[in-house]
Amino acid sequence: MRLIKCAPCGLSVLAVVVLLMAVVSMTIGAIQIGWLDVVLALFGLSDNAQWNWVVQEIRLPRVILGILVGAGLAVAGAAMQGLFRNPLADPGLVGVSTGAALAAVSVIVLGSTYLAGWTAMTGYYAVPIAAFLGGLTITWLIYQIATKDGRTDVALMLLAGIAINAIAGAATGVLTYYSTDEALRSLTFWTMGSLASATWTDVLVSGIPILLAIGLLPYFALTLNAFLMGERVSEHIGFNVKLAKRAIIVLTALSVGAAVAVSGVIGFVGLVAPHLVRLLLGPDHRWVLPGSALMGAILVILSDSIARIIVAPAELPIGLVMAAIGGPFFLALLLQRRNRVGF
Amino acid sequence: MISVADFNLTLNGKAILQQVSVAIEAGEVFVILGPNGAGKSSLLKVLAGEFEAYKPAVQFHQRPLSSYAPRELAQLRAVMPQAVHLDFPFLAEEVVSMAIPYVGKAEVNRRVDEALALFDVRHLAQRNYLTLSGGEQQRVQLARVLAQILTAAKQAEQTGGLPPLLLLDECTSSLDLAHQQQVFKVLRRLARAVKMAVVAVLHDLNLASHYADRALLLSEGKIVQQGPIHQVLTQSTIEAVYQTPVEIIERPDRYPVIVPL
Repeated sequence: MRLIKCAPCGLSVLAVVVLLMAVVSMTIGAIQIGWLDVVLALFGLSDNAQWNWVVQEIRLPRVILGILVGAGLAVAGAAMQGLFRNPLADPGLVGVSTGAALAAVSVIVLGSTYLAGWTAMTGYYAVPIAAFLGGLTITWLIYQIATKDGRTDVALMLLAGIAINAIAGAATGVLTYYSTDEALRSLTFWTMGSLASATWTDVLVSGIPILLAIGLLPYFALTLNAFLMGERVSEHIGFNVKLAKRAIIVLTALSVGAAVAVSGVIGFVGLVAPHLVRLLLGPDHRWVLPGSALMGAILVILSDSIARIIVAPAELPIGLVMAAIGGPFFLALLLQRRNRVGF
Repeated sequence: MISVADFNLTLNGKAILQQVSVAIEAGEVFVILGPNGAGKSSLLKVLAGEFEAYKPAVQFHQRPLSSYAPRELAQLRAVMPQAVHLDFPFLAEEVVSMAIPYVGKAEVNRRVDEALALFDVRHLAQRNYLTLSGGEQQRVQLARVLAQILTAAKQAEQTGGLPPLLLLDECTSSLDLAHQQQVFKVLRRLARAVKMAVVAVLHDLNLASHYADRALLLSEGKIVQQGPIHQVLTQSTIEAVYQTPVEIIERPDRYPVIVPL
């Protein structure tokens, strides 16, 4: 049931694993660099000037972006599962990620024509803010559709997700095919994600909102715990449910929007990471939220490394690797719920 | 302790409660009776403050319900809904501890332990809530709502603070015969000892006859009868409200038993 009894110890172990995997991931690439040299190059201490540059300017931003995106998606997944009172909610499955992607693509393609006013107003942050608003709209919409009288209809939630994914996916596809804009990355990027073009600017743009979400969501951990028994129950226990609900929806969208703006749509992180953490540490949100952030980082670095190794020197889209892991995981979860004795 | 006067509840244009006046006193077990759809749960929800617009009309300790801060109210009254759906594998003791998020860890452990013991589920403390039977889950939920107001109950007993209130909606529906009796024995004992008020929606007229002090009988949103339990549970009233013949067996020195014919 609960593999690690001491939750803070479990979190520390996860944090160490994140660091180790980050270093290992930075050894992989067109040039093989040993882990010791990677560590030296991080501080510019390697004798090989090329290695210093490769590690600091290419591999480090990529791995940090991977950590941020993974943590952001996973913490958003954990919070959404609490909000929807259901362990099957995931920003990818219910359409929040594709909604954010559609908003981002719209701004890139239409930014100089129909949406010129928007880009003039938001400047450099036009794309991430649009992605955030796209994610926010979808989260709110799904919540309105699937939740009634403080209870969530899981079937409705997932079906609405299918519809939204189809609509937003189609619209994104149409926009990318008709666009000649060079700023727009390929449809593959928006549907299957990639960390390949990671820059320090990406890290900065996505880092602030994601760290904000990771930092603030734990304040609602106890509310989310009570929330799992129903909105009314947590109200009667004395929590400010309205405030918590709004804050969680906004922070979730912020985190997913930021992640999608810089890495496209990477599915299943928000489903798999919280689940593994619950198996390790139990369902208490005080541990699930930070634990998911760490586990999400691990999953994304791992997938990104696999994506780079498996067809080297080419690269697979990271979302493909995540889907190969997450898809069967999702099916296993459904099967388990069929038999229904805890999980 | 808690009251509404001449109260009407209308939801989506439908009159759910009409001209309901009720005043519950500290230290009593008060039951709300009536056939399905009579408005029992709605009345309990009104008292629990679940209808935002109607909160000013409910007086709790001589103040409108709307004037209480959420946490202040939570320490004085707890609510157990008809059903609680939990989809995550918490331990039973964790479920109970959710009711008291604002106290220290040692105090939480003490209160959780005490509440679990009161409802005979202490041995399940370390069990996964999802693997418990329906009746066991219900007793854990009872422990949870009791844990929430345990401090107020102690203070009321020792220093004369405001006594707390428990609102229970069919809290024994999944329990076996023995545990139904045991739960109401505990509730009545607490009501007497710490002047706590218990308001319970019930279907079982014999449980009501055994443990309630006063009752309110609802039918189609209106009060049919209100008063000391045995003045409410008369043959003519029950037959009229439930549309079914019954016999009331009076027994010397024991509570009367109601038998459907």
